Amino acid sequence: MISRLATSRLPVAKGVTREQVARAPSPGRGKSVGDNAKGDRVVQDVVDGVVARLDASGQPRDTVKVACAQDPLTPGLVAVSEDGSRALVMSCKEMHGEPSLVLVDFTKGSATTVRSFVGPGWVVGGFLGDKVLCLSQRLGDEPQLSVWLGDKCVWSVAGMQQPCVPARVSPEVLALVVCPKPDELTQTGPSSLCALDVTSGALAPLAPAAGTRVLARPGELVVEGGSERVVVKI
Amino acid sequence: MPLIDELRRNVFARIRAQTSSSTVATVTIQGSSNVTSATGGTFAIAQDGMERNLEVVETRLTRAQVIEKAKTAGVPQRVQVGPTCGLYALGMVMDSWNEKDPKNPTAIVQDLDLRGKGKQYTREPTTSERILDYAQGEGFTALGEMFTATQLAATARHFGYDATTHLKATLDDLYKVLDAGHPAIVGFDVDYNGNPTNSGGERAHYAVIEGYFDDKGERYLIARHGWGVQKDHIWKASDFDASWKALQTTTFYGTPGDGVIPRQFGLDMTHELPEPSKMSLPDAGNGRAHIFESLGTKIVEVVPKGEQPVGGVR
Repeated sequence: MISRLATSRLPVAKGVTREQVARAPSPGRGKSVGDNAKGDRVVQDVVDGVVARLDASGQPRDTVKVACAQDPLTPGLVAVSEDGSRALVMSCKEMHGEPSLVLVDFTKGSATTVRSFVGPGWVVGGFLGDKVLCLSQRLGDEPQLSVWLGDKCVWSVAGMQQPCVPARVSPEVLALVVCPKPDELTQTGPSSLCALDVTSGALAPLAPAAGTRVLARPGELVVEGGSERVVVKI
Repeated sequence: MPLIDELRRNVFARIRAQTSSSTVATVTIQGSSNVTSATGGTFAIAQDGMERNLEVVETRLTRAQVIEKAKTAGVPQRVQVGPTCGLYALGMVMDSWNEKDPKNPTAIVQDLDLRGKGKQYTREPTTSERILDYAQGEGFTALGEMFTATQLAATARHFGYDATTHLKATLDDLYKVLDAGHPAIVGFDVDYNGNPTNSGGERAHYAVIEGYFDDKGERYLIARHGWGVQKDHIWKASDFDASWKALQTTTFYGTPGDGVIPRQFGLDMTHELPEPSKMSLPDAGNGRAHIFESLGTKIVEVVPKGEQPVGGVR
């Protein structure tokens, strides 16, 4: 009964449209740019070790220092809160290891570690209202992706996933891009836009999709950052 | 080529334990209505009347076992420091030949490696010369990046190996190199997990291909590279093929030919970093350089002197 109730909370795909898109220009070596639905943009520069809001002309302001040692090839993704006052970024102590999810508050000028782990891997954050989500991907010979809400692991899967900033569908439901069942040999696989009930851990694939962020809009979910823009009516 | 299909068909093979025919045993298991002994071993009659051999052993070929069976050209791991993936890939190949015959030379990439025995290197270097010093001195690289495969082969030759570059290589060329037991150094576009992707060349990276196998009609490659985030990667050959063809442009040098390269990670950039003197990548516009002709679909084959490479040019 509990799982039925949980499943009923999950959205259903009512239609999918796909549009081929040109590759977005690189923001520069070691840089990553994220934005929210309102268009507030935040840049992380792992070479300079800073995170900043970008103004309308693309110039950085409200700069906060976040020390980073990650490979500039894999700077991480930036999640921006709905009001644009906060951002979630990755900070690593090694080129491909010891990752931490850092919450940057531009109003306070602060940077706070939300979650970290030892070993190779990466993290991506997401905002679920006032709560902070952490997707932590452990690598190594037994790779595993885990979705954390505070100190609670709400879902995990063995294998390697692609980093993608999730979106909030409702107070209990998250939209994210994952491969629900990675191949046992490659430990990877084709990804789908999925809905996750964070209270029960129920996961529902909605449509095949790949990208670096999910946007939640009234009645639809959008996956961007891949070779195609995928819009799923829910 | 390893017959992994055949190996995996035996994954659930059941092996009857060898036991004496006189053995009589009584075992109580949940769901059994009675227990008896037959021609040998211990058997149980389940409630549905089926006979279960309690000494049946289930065997399973693990992913690690698949890798070990299929590797024909394995190399020791080195974890890179800096944007030096090609040089560390070359170091891994030199280590593998040195492991087979200590007379074959090997070298460490940079002095920093000396602090990381077991991680940055495993075999004792046979020379005090550093691979990075040579590549920088020759004007191949600024920080260890090697966007031109022929220059990586030239570096291998300097350190005492015969090395060729397969230009316009195909997967069939790759299999021939591996069939000869030679590790293959290749460029590809890397994702966050160290696997092939397509970012148009922006995340160009080197790996060593160590072997291949077929399973359920799909061909797979076994690869190792300088990130060290996984001991060995298994990639679909088709994914790798798309990825090494995706090496089109890079922003590493900014506009090639302007003499300077943009600020790089971990450097004191109070001075501008000059482009390497033998970097001749064509300008792709918008602060990018073309890399397909120099790196895309290339194999660097490195063998000890006296052994014949299966192909490529010197």
